[in-house]
Amino acid sequence: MQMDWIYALVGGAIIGLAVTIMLLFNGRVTGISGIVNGMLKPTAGDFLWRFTFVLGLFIGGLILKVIRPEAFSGSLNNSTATVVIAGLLVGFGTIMGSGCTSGHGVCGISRLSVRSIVSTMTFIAAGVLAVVIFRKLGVIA
Amino acid sequence: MVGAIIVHFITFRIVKKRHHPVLDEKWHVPTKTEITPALVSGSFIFGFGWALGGMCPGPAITNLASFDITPIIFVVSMLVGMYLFRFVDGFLKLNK
Repeated sequence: MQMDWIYALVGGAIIGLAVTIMLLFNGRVTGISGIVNGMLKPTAGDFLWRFTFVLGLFIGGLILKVIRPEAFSGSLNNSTATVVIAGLLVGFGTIMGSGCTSGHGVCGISRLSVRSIVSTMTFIAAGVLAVVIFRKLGVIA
Repeated sequence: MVGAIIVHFITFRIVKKRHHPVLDEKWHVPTKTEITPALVSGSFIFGFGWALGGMCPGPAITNLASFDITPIIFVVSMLVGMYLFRFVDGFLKLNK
């Protein structure tokens, strides 16, 4: 448990490499909400790279499940209603705000995009606020 | 996120020295600089949902590999949320 921050740092570094590969080969920002959103209204020639990337996210999860299944044990025990509302907010908010943790937080901040810095500070602040409120209300543990 | 930024802060600068990506003729990196109400309010809504569900879009998809019901419900709701914004934006034209 005390070593968790090392896993987080190494995992983060791997993500940093992954977004670098996307940039080097495809010239694109690895914004996962945007990549998924583009699949919902597919246009010719713009679907396959999105699909293979999302498939890769899933296969990465399958590999992790085999080599380090305990990584999944931390899944939250929230009520179904909470999960639905959370998903709706994440989907709606990321498209309205043009990005999420990957696109703004990792790619945007790395290139010092002011929009991404503002977005990241906003969603982290909102997250902290939400945790405080929902813990008080007993909605989340 | 910090580990990823440390790496990509450096590699972004190295990669962008190239004239174009390996498999494409031009870069597709966003160039917008305007801080819009949609950017801030959308990010705020995302942050709220992120804290409530404990997942952002990437890890949510990777978590599907656990075959637990929670990430499945989350991802489906997330897709509905994306459609919902598309519907609302059809009237508001926020990101146009």
